[in-house]
Order: sequence, then structure tokens, then C-alpha cells
Amino acid sequence: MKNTRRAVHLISMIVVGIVLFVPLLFPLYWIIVSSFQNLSTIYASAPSLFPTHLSGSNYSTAFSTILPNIGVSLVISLSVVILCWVVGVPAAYALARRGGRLADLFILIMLITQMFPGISLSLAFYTIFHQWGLLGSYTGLILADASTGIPFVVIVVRAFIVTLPGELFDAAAVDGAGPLRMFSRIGLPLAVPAIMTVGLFTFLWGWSDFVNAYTLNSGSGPQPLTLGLFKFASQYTSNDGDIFAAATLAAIPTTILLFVGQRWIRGGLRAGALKG
Amino acid sequence: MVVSKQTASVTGPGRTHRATGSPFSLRFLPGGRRARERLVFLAFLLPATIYIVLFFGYPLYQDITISFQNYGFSAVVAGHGPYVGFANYSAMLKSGVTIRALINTVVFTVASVFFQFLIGFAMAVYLNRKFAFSGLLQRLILIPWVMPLVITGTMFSLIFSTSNGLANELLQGAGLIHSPVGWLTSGDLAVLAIIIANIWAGIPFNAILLYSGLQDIPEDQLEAAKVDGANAWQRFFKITVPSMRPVILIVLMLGVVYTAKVFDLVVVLTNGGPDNESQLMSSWAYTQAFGLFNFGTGTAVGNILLVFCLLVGVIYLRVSKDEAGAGAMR
Repeated sequence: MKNTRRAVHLISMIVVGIVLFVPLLFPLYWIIVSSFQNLSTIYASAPSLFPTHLSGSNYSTAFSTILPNIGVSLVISLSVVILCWVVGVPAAYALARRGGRLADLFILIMLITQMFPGISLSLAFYTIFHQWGLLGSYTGLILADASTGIPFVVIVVRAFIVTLPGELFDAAAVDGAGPLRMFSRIGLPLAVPAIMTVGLFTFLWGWSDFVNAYTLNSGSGPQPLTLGLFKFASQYTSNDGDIFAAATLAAIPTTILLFVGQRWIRGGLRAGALKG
Repeated sequence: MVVSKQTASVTGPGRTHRATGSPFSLRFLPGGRRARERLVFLAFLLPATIYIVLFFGYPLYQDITISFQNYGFSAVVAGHGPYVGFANYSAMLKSGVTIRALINTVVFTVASVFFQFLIGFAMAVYLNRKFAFSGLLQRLILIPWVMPLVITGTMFSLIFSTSNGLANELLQGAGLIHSPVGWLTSGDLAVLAIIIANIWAGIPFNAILLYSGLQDIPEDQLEAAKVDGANAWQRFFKITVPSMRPVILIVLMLGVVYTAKVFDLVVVLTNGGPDNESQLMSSWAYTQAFGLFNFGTGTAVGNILLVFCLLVGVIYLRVSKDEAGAGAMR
């Protein structure tokens, strides 16, 4: 009796699991499988849900098109991370170590910036960068992509440093450490978890950005992955096989990052979970 | 101050020497320790302040002023155009497409947030039951979340493709439709397709945040209720949901703000078409500015969206403060 009930429970759990998770994961599977099939198989009238006639022929075009875009995205995303760290972390430290009404106002402004729609910023960036001569450049795109990242770094890293025990800093002060030394020897090393988390998030934002790239670099200049894939997909409308392959390739880097940086991502999701 | 210097010399001359000799020393600056510290903190805040002024303050100023100007291509070159008062706003609010885009944005936001939350919550509860593959599953479901929305959009444009997309194949295979449906070629279906794609992309965010909220509920509280004879549903609605109130509110509010400004998905899936029927406010602002090269009306549409996002944002900040949401922001 008890065994039957346990079996029923187990089976119902499996069924619920399938109903919940298969719709989420199946599209990924379908894209990957389709990317390895030649066009005649994709276009077969019966649903081709199981791989037949695997071939990598779709990948040659996709690879040569997408690879340069991946390089551009890497340069942009890494620069965004460094810029966000350099500008955001010291500010976060200063705000954490010294509160007050002005600091509260500063943090409130940081929070409000996170609500800005990307398109509002991009339209304004276009007019501003036209005057500054930054349209279609690495610099312009990096500066634009870092704009939502920097306030995020300030918010999350500050919140983390505030929770550090004050005695650590007091002890260093007694030892005669100056403010810069305290920052570099105590604040920075202890804040590494938060710094890694925001680094990962700002990297993902730089990597995923489309609205800035589409408005600022659509005409000319460095083409990041998102823009490259978009153009590729709208250009080769006749050849779905290549698009399947390109989309699969484009999804690989962030998936690797997800598995490598899993613990930082979970921390960040808890830390306010902002995605622009 | 004097005391701390004395202590430093007591701890050893070597240490003091290293402190003064290091490149990090600011002893050359006049004033005491506190004054030096204040100076350093101000220097730390300076770059961030400049950044915010240049890349949020100035753009906001541009968005507001441009929306009151006739701002075409020559104005972009010149940096300013003739002022036209509220003409851009009234022209936009009279346009049927703007109204359609507004309705689309509201439907898109409400439907996305509602279903993401519902499915995400169900997943969170499921994952919280601790089984063998729970950890792996948590990683797998985050894949859609880390994927750039452009890839998601590209994927769903293949799924909703009329001739051989997965959606039509499955529906035909199940006998629900007899001939292929033009998902992206009719306005209402296109909006539905965008909503489905966005729900898919947003579920992981909801699931993982709610899952971490579930883990914070004290186990003994649920056990006590069980001992008292409460069934699973009672425990869920009497203990789980009330104690997750802050997390739930945060997930919903952030969901609204982030969904209302989605841009990539529309552009990739339909580009607002057919005939502007699937425009959201974000893509409509873009179309005005770059399709018709009218930045005045483009920023006007963008500002309407901006005001909406800021309003929800302010409510969110209020609620998260009142609800001790600081706990979840930790």
C-alpha cells in the first residue's frame, strides 16, 4: 500500500516536472538539432524532432560570419566590465564607509537610473554622440553599454561592503593605515565576491546589448554579436539552416559563462536581480 | 588622531615606515586623518558622479528638450531644432499607431509578468523539493536567461515561421490546426508570439528569485503547521505565500519595469509589423526616430514610456522599503 502510494507520487512528480520544464528546454534542443541537419530534412513535412543525417555543413557560413562579431563583443564586454569596476567600485566603497543624507540621495539616484528604458537613453546617445564624433566607434558603444552597469555596481558593491564588520577597518586605522591603503588592503579583497558578481552581470549586459548597438553602430563601426546575428538572420532569410547554426553558436559563450560563473550569478540575482 | 599615530609607532618602526613609504600614502596632504579620508572619498565619488551626469543627466535633458523640438536630420547635425511646444506629443497621442503601441505594451507587460510569475513560482516550488537533478535543472533553466534577447528572438522567429516552424508543426501534428498559421504576419498573433517569446525568456528570473525566497522560509514553521494538521494547500497559502510577500512584490514590480522597456524581441521578431500592428512603445519610438527620422516624436514616445517606468520604479522603491524588502536586496 505504502509502496504504491510512493510510486504514484514519484510518477506524478515526474509528469509535473516534464510539463513544467520541457517547454522551457525543448526550443533549445530543437534549435541545436536543426542546426545539424541539412535543409531538405528541416523542410521535410513531418516534424524532425529526432536528429537524422547529422551534418555540420550549416556551420561553415555561420562560423565565418559570426566569429568576427564574437571578437567585437568580447572586446566591448570586457571593456565595459573594467570601466564599470574602475568607476563604480571606489564610489561604492566611499558610500559604504561614509553614510549621510547626501550618500542616501546618491544611492537613490543610482536606483532610479536602473528604471530608464534603453530606447530613451539610446535616442539621446545618438544625438549626443553625433556631436562628440563617437557614432560607430568602440568608445561610444562601450560608454553607452556601461551606463546602466555603473550604478548597478555602486548599488550592489556598496550593499556588500556595508555588511563587513567595522572592526576590520578600525583595526587597520589603529595600525596607521591611510584611507587608500584601507581601500586596497581591506575593502577590495573582502569585497571580491560582490565585485565578481557585478563583473559577471555587467559582462552579460555588454554582451547582450542590442538597443545601443542597433542605434549607434548599425550603419558602420564595430558590429557586436547581437547586431551581427540580427543582420545575418534578416539577410539570409532563404537559408534557415545557416540561421539555426548561427543562433546556436551565438548562444554558446553565455552558456559557458553560466556554468563557470554559476555561484556569482546566483549571488547577483539575490542582490537585487537587475537586468536591463 | 595623535593617539593613532602614537599607536602606529608603538607597533613598530618598520610598519610605520612601510605605511609612509608606500605609493598609497597620502601623508603629504595637509590636514588630519579625517580630512584626508574625506578628500579620498570625494575623489572616489568623482568619476561616478561625472559618469551619471554625462550619461544619465545629459541624455535625460536631451530627451526632454528634443521632444519639444522639430528634430529631423538637420537638427541632429546642428545639435538643436526649432521649438514646437507640445506639437510632438499631441501628434503622437492622436496617432492610431501610438494608441495601438500603448495597448500592446500594456497587454504585453501584464500577460508576460503574470505568466512568468505563475510558471516561475510553480518551478520554484518544484525545485525546492530537493531531488537528484535539482541542481542540474537549476543550471539548465538559467540558459534562456543569460541568452541575449536577440538570440531568443531569432530562435522564436524560426519557431513561429509559417512554412516549417516548430509551432505550426506541433499544432498540426496535434490536429489543432489544419493549415499553417501566419504567426508573424497578422497583428494580434504577432503580439501573441512576442508575448510567448518573452515569457519563455523571463521564466528563469522569476523561478530562481522565488526559489531563493522559498529557501528562506524557516523549515520548523512548515513542520509545526504540518503537525497541527494543515494540508499542503493550507500550508502554501497560510505560511509560504505570506512569508514570501516581499520577494513576490519585488519580482512583480521589477518584472513590470523590465518588461515594459523590452525592445530587442519586437525588433527581431516583427520589427513592429505587419503595418505597425505589433509595435510596442519602445520599438515605436525607434521607428519614429530612425524610420521616419523624427527625433522629436521619437523622444516624445520614449518619454511616455520613461514616465511609466519611473512611476512603477518609484512605487517599487516605496514598497521595497515598507516591506523590509531590504532583506531581499541584501
